[in-house]
Amino acid sequence: MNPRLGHHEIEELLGAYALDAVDADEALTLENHLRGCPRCRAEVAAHRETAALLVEDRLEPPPELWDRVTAGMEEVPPPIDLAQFARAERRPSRATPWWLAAAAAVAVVLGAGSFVVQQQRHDQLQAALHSQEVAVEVLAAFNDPGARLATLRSGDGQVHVRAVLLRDGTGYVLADRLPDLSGGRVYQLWAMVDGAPRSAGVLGAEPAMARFHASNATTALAISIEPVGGAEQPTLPVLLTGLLEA
Amino acid sequence: MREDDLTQASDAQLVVAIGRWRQDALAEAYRRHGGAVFALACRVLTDRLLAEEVAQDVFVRLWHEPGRFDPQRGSLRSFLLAHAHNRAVDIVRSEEARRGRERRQHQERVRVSAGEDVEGDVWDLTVAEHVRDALGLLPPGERQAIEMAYFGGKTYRQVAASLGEPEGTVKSRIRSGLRRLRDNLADLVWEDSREP
Ligand SMILES: [Zn+2]
Repeated sequence: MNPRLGHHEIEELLGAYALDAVDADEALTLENHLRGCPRCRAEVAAHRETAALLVEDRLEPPPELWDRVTAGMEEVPPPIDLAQFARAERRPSRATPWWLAAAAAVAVVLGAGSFVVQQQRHDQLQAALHSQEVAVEVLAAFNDPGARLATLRSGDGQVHVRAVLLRDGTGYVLADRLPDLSGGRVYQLWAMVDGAPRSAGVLGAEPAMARFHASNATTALAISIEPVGGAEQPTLPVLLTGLLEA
Repeated sequence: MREDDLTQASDAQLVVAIGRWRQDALAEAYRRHGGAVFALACRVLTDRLLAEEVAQDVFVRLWHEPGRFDPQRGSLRSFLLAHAHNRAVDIVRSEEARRGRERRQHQERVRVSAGEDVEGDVWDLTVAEHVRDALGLLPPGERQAIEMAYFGGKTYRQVAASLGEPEGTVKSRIRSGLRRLRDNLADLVWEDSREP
């Protein structure tokens, strides 16, 4: 195959390459290209995350497999007993598909390569919108036909937080349903833009309704728990996630 | 998070602990992802013993070379599955090459390898419901191309040959199907998160 493929031909191969479905010489060409092309790398990573979601998770590996793994280690402490990590206990319930959490993690991780760690301030959001005036503003936002709504849901489905993003980038999040935090931790809001999480501000330890600003290109919102002052990147797994309506 | 509570650790934190030779961190990574790694290898290889070899290889390599995982570039799950898939496909293809040599020697007909029957009962019963729904929303040609490539371990050219479709069509279907699948999943997540 011609090693001087145009970018379009390279792109056409990215899905097949991500599934190991190309010939050896094509794989070499692709690998060469990927070293210098972050955009194609990101696409391959996205395809692999998607493919990974197709793999069912409920097949118990044979018990001797772990023994084989530890037998493959050299000069290491004796194997520990795997039984103490009761596998079944962590199985997510049917109500919360395991891949929902996985998808959230994927969404957070994907594109993180382009997430330059910036020294950004994680502004305390203008919280506790007490005044009647602002309450009206929030209500109007939710009723704006051009607004995009989101329901952020916790992994166990127990907590819902509603949010709205207006066309001008102003958003409101009704975070008052979140339980108060203690111990130097705060809630932080994230906007997913181009697959990368961007801080939309810190909601504090006792969150209320808050106004925030986010790009029009935001596809999803997430809330994580972070140390006071906020974090550059969300601590995984994020607490709540929700997609914005198109 | 307690520093030693590995069950609460992120994948990135786990891999850092593995880099410090903490075997309990490897055990936690295995507990989280071992089943999926083994399941994928079983699907591609249709042979439990070979699948065990692949899974063993995946986790031993994680133990010895944890730095190969870059949390900036994806999840640990997809990293491990990509490694397992690559190993499994190597085995399938070297087996095919061996059979190809034998066929030339003996003029035998080559047996069809794994992955033709992609809708076994077991799979239907165990696949996560939403993922199956999202797969079901794909155009059949895209679904088939993805399944034959990913679970059957075939190249897009082999898929094209066995379906009698142009290679370029199959190549495009794999890519567009993966994108559509991702979008479908996102839609289902959204539907799921809507308040009743
Ligand atoms: Zn490129």
